[in-house]
Amino acid sequence: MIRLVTLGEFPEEVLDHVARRVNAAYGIGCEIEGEAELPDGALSDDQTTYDAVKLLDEIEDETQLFADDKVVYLTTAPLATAEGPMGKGPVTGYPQFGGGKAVVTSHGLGGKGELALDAGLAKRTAHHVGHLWELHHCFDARCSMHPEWAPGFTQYPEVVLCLYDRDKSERKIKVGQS
Amino acid sequence: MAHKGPEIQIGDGSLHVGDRVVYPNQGICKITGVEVKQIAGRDWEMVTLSREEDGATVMVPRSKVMEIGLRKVASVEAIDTMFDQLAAPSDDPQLDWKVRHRENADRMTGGGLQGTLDVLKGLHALSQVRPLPQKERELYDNARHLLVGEIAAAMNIPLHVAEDNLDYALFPPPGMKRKGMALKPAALTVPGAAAALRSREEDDDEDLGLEEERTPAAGETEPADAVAADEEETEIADRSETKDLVRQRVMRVAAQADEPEPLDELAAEALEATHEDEAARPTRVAHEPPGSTRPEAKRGARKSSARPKVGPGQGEEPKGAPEASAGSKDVAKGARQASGLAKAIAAKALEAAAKAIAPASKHPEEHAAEKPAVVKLAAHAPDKHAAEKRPPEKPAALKPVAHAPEKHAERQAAAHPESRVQGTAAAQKPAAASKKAPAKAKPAAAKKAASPKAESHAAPRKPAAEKKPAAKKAPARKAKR
Repeated sequence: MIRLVTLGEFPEEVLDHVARRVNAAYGIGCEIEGEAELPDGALSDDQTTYDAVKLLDEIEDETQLFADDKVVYLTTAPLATAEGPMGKGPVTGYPQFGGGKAVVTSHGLGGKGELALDAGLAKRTAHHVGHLWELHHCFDARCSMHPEWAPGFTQYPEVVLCLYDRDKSERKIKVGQS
Repeated sequence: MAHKGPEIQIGDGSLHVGDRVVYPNQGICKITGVEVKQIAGRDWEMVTLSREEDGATVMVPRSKVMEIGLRKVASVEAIDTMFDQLAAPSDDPQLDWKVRHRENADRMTGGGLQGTLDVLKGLHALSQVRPLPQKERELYDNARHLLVGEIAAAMNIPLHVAEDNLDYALFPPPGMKRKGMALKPAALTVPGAAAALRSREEDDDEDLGLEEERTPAAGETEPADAVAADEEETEIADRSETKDLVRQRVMRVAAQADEPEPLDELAAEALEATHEDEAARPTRVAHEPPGSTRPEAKRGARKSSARPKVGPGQGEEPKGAPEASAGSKDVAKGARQASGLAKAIAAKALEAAAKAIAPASKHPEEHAAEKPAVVKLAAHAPDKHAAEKRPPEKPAALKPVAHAPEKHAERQAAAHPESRVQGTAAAQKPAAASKKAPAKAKPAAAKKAASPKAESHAAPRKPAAEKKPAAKKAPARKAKR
């Protein structure tokens, strides 16, 4: 089961759309669990972004989780991650790779050259949920696991997986359930 | 029994207990120690590793540590260099799947960080041209998983951050720089039309491989390399692709079978069938140039047409009797011999008759005086001695020379010398019959009856109608004589 927890205000139809799309992409249940608050400790020094890694570590959430459950936090706040060898890049979310938690932001959606809020948030959520099942980025522009900043991600708003990723996610889901 | 301690050297001496290592098939591991295990009655020194991903324990025989490609996690400098290479433009992908498969397999096991990077970059470049087959897609994912783990371990950053950085180099976002150099932003590329994407709400048609036959969407253009590689793609040893290939071939064969056979081919086959007897001859095969792959019938036909007309070879039949089989050949040969003998005998009988007629027209006394001369002439016959022994007044000396039909005429001529004219006419009848007889055996018998010179120069493939007059001429000449 995928549980959606909001860390801000989202229209109901948007959340409903996200839940439906994620359910269709992975074939497992997805429900809106409730709301939570952004941890202040995750706020960066310049008070503009939240450190995604810290956010997941410090969030106080009473959502009950079972063995194969995944929690996705939805926020409107901009996120940031640690700087890597390539420098800073766009961040749309952060998943605990192969873990159980992920945070996704709707920051930037609906703007120029970006997807609409509902479609964009659904695709970003599906993308980061995929990382929770250890899916890597995909070179296929139409796959939801394509890098979020690549042009293909916005060009194809459908939330679908390529065959390889779909098979892999199914295997992981089965292993998690067993 | 376990030996634990940093002093234990593993492999070539570069690995120690507690090191973080990269196991090509497993990912990032940590060496936890060296243990001696008794397996199948033997003591084995095993290096135990703990996989960081899930904590699973992996045991490797100490002697095989280097063989499996176990190596230390790369340094930060090496990772930095690797990112330089990742950000650099990639070379043209290797399109020969056999070479690519072999190279990639070698690189993954023994290539170290550079080898893994080469595999990832090569397959990434190929994926921009055409969709990867299943096996290579798995290899691409394995290489990516290995690199992401190594980057995260080497730089001590989360896995997701490592992967994002890896893709900042492969799919540079707008404004991304590497050491002050702006990278070209990733363009929208759809690798061919075969990228199979489905949501679970759709049918499971992908099991049939139908997704690979999709046509590109509007605005999507398939790169030229992809088109060129499509033929090669069918060779890839992937089960689903092989299935498609077999299906295509079956359809092609079925389509060919439906097509009517061209008339030219039918005519050629009929022509070959007429020369089958010639083609079956060993002499022609022996004279055929080595390496020739043309069918025997064709070779025989061509050679016979190119060869000068020097008469039929041994056992060769003229064109007039093309359908004669091996059995009928013997029969025809026998008939030819018989008719040849009959002709010879008839000719002799004619000679004898001519001699007999000539004195009959003279005075009876003169005729009696010339009798021995008749015997002399008859001495040319095969049974010369028999003719000489008999008394000269008995012209029956010619008797043994005659055969079947001629015999009776000669006997009559000998018994009734006064009816020699009739006898001559009777003797001429078989001769005429012998002229007609070759009509059954056609030119073969006609040639036998002809003189040896005419026989040797007779064209083997001339129509029977052209040869008939020649066959008639020979007895006429003898008759004159």
